[in-house]
Amino acid sequence: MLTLTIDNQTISIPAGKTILEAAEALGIMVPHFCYHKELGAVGSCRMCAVTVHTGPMPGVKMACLIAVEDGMVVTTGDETVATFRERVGEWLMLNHPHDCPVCDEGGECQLQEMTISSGHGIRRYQGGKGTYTNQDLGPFIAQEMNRCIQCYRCARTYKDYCGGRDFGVMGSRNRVFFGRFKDGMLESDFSGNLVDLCPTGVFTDRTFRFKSRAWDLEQADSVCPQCGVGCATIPGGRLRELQRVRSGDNPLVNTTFICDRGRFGSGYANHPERPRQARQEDQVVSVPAALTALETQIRATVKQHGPEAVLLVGSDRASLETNWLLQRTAKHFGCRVPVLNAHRQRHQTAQMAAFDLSERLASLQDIRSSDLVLVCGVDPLAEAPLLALALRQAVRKGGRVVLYDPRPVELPCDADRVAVSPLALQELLADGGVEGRHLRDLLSQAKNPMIVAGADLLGLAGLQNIQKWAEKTSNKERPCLVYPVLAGPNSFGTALLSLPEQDDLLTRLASGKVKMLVCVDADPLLEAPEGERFAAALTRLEQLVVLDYLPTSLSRHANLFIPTCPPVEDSGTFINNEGRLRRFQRVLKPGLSLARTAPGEHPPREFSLDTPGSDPQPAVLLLQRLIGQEQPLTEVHRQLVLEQPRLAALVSLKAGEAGVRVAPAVARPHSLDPLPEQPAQTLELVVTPARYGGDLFSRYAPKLEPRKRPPCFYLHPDELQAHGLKDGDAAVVETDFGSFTLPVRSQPDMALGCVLVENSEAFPQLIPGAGLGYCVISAGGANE
Amino acid sequence: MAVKSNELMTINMGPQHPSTHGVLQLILELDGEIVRKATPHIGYLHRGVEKLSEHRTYHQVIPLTDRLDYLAPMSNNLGYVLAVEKLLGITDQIPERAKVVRVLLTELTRLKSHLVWLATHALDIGAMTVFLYCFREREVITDLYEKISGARMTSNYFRVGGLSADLPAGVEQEMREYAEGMPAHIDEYEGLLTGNRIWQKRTIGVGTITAEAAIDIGITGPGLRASGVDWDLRRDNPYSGYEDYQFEVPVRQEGDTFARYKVRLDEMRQSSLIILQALDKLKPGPILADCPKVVLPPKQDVVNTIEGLIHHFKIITEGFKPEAGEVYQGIEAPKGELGFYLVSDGSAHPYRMKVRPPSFINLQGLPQMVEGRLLADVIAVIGTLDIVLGEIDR
Repeated sequence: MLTLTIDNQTISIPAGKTILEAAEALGIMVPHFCYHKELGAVGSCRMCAVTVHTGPMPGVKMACLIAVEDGMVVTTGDETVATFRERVGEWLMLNHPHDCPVCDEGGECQLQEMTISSGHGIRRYQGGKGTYTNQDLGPFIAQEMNRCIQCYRCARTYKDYCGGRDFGVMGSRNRVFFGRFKDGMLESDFSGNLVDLCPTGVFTDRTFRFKSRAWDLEQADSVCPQCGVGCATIPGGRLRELQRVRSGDNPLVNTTFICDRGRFGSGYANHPERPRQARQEDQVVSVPAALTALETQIRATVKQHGPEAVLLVGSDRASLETNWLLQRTAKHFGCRVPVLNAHRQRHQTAQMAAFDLSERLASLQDIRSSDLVLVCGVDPLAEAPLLALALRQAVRKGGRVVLYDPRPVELPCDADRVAVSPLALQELLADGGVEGRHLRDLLSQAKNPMIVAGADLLGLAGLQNIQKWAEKTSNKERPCLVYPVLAGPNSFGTALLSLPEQDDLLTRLASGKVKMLVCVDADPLLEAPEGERFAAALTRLEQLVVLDYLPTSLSRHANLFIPTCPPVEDSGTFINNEGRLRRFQRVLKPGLSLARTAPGEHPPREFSLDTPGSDPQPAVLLLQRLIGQEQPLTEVHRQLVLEQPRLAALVSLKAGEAGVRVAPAVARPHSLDPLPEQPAQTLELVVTPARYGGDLFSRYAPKLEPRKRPPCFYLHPDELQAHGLKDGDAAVVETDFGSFTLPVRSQPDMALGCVLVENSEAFPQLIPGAGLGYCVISAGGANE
Repeated sequence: MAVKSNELMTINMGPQHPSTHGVLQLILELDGEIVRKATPHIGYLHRGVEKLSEHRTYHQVIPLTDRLDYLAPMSNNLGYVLAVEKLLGITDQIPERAKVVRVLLTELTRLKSHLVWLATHALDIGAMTVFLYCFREREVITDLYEKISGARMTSNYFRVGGLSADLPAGVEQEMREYAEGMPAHIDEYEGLLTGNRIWQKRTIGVGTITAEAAIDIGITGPGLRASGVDWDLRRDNPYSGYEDYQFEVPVRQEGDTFARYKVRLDEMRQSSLIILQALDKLKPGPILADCPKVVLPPKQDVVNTIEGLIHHFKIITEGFKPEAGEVYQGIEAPKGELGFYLVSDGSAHPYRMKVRPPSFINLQGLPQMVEGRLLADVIAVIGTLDIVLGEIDR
């Protein structure tokens, strides 16, 4: 610890910290632009000048660059540096356009704040200003280069931190330009971070352009629901419209970055087709009437057909509270325990993560500082985008990433990528021979090894082998940690709540005893495999009840439908991949947006006591009313902790906090599915979520349309040739779940012996995570 | 109707009554024509100005102050901006021209306020002509208000650090002519009233209050000085450069309605002199302090330079943030000591904004002024107290 004095205040701080960080710790604000806690310092803006009075070279220094020394004496507000900063402010203003009134950054602009704090108020320079020609950077980012102050934050964000390759610094002297070689959509999946990181209005959110001033937005700390990473976000809404999503700050998870899917994929909240009224058969009814009908029906069905007759289904995108209340509801009406996740295999792997692996879970922060990450069966950009950024940071710090996956995984960093088929990957993990031993040796020798395991591709068997690997390669000095990549924002939470050895949805439906199915924030047709079996089972039901906020087909076909609220309109808790409890807070109240969605449309011109479209209620509240126990969330948490002592942190958890890990638990017994034998003449079927449209939320996000890709089958060129196919041909693929016709594409980076297909809005028939599957491919069908 | 002689009759006066000068309600207990007890009921004009201020930036509070004593808006503006300037510690940076214009306009405002007082007070007692004369003169000031601030009543003219705009061309001459002509007008009013026997009968010895009682209640302004207490904040605790002006503080000993009438008329003569002195002092110069972090930049800078635009943008949308602390600033408003107490918690909004309105405190003298007197004297006393309900109820 070094002790130094800043503005007559003394502080002790570890060596290696800068004066700026020391001042921040003391609560002294030194104005700065180019320094950012995640990007580091470059000393290009000259704003953070302070006077250092000690040492061999006293004088004006840049606080962000100078490391603290013992006995240092620093002043931040003396006349020399105050004047220095005022002149820097004046110089930054020389070319800045006169456009705050039309700039979206206005009000949350660091340049505005720093100009005022620099003390520069009167313009002296009367000459002309330099101007630039802007580029079209695609539908997400608007560029206005004239506002640039050359802090290099954008290039450091896009290239250095996020690993983008199509954007950078061009020009020299006073012609420095930040952009692409030519116009075009930014390729990086993290391009939106330019908006957050740019201290002025050079890069602004194009989808949010001219919609609201920052101070008019209703904002709250939230958690992104679009994958299992659980990034901190700050959604902002106005006039009942969710208008933008910004990154929050969670140093343990996403730091201050989020992916474009989370940032621009929030359209589901204001989707024009979002169901906003309760329906019974084809009649619109009020929510209380629907709840009364539901209660009557459940009671009557249980009375007539017994506890098996009513089946409640939760989901991994419903909050912890909702899933727990579902269990309470089942108890209240005397039904059998609910199914918390319709996707059996995903639920099994999530339980593996929530119990067996709970003692050795890695966080993204751990991965960022790891020296060896073994990534097995994960396509980070599709399944957990911020994981890709964390891997990049590990590589930037000198770490190594080894990746085994059948898919043509793109990473924003260097990695030793080995394309192996799912079956080969299972064999590698089961024993692995020479290669497996080599990998385990690597892990054993590493200082800080991590294994990232894709639950969808590896399945229960793969995860169990990963656990064995982690145990074997841990030693007394350090453990080998595992980061499981689960599918939903609350997969971990639903798994944690569930009872061991539960029957899955299809088994229970197949028994024929179920007369009434109640799906809460769940659509087994889109979120679980074997949709055909499920659809067939639906026809045997007497009642299908759906409580949801997405316009899925299941909600349209329900006999009784009650609208619920997405996370931005609700408060609750998710548990992310690393077992971290994350609280989200309500940002908006439900209601039809004033702007509606299409031009010319307008909310209904009718007088009513309520806001138009404000019928949806949080699922938690609906379930509480159903069982006649309305309680505040704090009371729900108290009772939940009594039942689940692992969640003790729930009681004191607050939105915007980094979140607390759940307590570890003992392993659970699991029933392993036998690995199916590969029939002759077949290829392995790999179903992967599409990068955009793979999760249900981004399917209902119109802003993401430009990034969505048409569905097709990907094959290695050698396989194409072996089957007599050409790139672009139509092909029929016969699988256990039916046969499908799509074009084929050649993909040289993927494993041999596989057919790869992306699950998305355009191709929802095959669901990832259904275990090993095989298929036969043949030419044919019309090429659409 | 036969009323037993020992039984009091309770009657209600106001809030809708032409002589209560706004929405004042008095519950009077009468023994025949003698007032035994008078209880003022207030709050009919409560708009929550103090609470509203807690959710506004410091600049956004200025228009609210217009609506306190709406007969003297510039005085309210001055009291408030002086308090904010004190909170910011920029009191000594206010440019000379701004200080002189502030004195000039608040003295003009004193005339404006006193003219309404005299007009309505005299009308209540039965003198119709004075009302017309006073409003004739007040109209000139209202026109000047309009030329200077754009509004005839709600001026919103002073700013933290100076003025919202410079004086328009030509108003200086108009003000000079007006101030020079004012003593003759005052003579005219006095000719109609001072020697008038009805006026004397209705005012001399009516609504008397002693110096001790006035001090106990906290009465300030002409009401205090007419009871023999020589106290005027402009002289005894000067602000905005009042120490540089030569003027007398009129004092009388009687403490009755007539004494207050004379003190106010003498004050109007003094105000005319102060206006002339201020006009002599008025030199071209800046009208806003050079404190860019808190003072709104001049409009031409906002329109022409990015620096001005940024400062304007941030001060308007977010507001400046004074350091945590508290201040009190009182000024000699036409009706007495108008005080603003501000508490800052370091945010862009006042944590607390408390107004000490002179009318509210002066009104508390009413019961002892009227109890034991005739009902008709209640009208005279309300007039002589010179209350404004906008300020009492806030």
